Amino acid sequence: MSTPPSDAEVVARILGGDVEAFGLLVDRYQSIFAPYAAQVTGSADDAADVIQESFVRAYRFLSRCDNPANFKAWLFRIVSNQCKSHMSRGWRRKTVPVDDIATLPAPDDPARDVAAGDLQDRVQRVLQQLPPDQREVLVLKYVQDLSLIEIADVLRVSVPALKMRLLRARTALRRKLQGVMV
Amino acid sequence: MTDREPDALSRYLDGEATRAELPAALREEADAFDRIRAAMDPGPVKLPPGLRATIMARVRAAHASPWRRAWRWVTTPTVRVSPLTGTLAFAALAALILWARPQSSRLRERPVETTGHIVARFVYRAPTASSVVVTGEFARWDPSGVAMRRVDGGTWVAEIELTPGLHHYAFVVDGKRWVIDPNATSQVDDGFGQQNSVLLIPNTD
Repeated sequence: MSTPPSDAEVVARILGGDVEAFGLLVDRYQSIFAPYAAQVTGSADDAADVIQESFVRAYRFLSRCDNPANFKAWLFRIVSNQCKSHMSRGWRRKTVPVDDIATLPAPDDPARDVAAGDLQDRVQRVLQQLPPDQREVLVLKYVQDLSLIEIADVLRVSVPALKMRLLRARTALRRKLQGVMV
Repeated sequence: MTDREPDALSRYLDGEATRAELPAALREEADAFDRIRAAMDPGPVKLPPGLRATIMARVRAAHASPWRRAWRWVTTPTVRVSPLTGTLAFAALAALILWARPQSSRLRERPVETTGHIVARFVYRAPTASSVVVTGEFARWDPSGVAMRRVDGGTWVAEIELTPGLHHYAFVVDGKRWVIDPNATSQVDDGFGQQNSVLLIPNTD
């Protein structure tokens, strides 16, 4: 069984004129970035738009990828920027009405030990109520499981600034979830 | 959960310390956040089945675009040109493309000649569509032919390099609805009870 070509090898083939090789990168990364884009934009439909634009943009500017071995991080940055651009243009954005928070159980409510599925639903809704920069950093850290250095590279911020943003995001998330978790 | 996060807990949640390194008093709070962390994962996101084909159609179109070909020609190291020759050649090509650039206000395909080939501009109005593809003999009637891009609220545009002659084509809206071009000069029967649009590109020789 042959080993799949590395990202650097695929990028070299594409830059050499083999446009069909780009499909390998699409297959490799579209499903990885889709959950991230869906959570940041708040919609699976918007995520599909973001993924499409990101890959086309990546192809157009592939020669600017300084380190093809690190193509994933470079593409991640493009996807992140496309998510921001997408939202700033005021395209479809699914938001959760603030009133929904009122349905969360009070701290002394016996229903506070919510089932895992229920908790996931509430966490997902609360994530959508956070500011985009806080939502993004939480998803990068705790869903995409990137290291602080990798996230700092994607977002082009320093690690100390990233830690501060992450701390604020966790604090905001906890506040909105108070009454749900111990 | 407390509102203020102790430093030791921050280090754990930043991934800089293990759970074993946490003071015992903070482990319950760490476990609570770990449950939130697990609930943050939305699971797999279902993407449209034609997304890959649309991306690749746009990538192929970008690969074939005159601008990209010109850029590759100028930047490809296998052809050695002096900086002066390259600059003059690029300027000449840019002038040719600017001279031949179609008017965006026209809603019909407008053939544009570049380097012996013709770039046909296809335009279709579909304000409620989520995708529009132009296909025809030039794309072997592949339903995922060449993806058109939305240029405003409801106008979809694609540029395709074609040879002089007659070309039959149609638009595919949202991956399933085949429609003719209402702005085409003529339509022909496709032999299966439907019609195709016709584009005539004159030979400029």
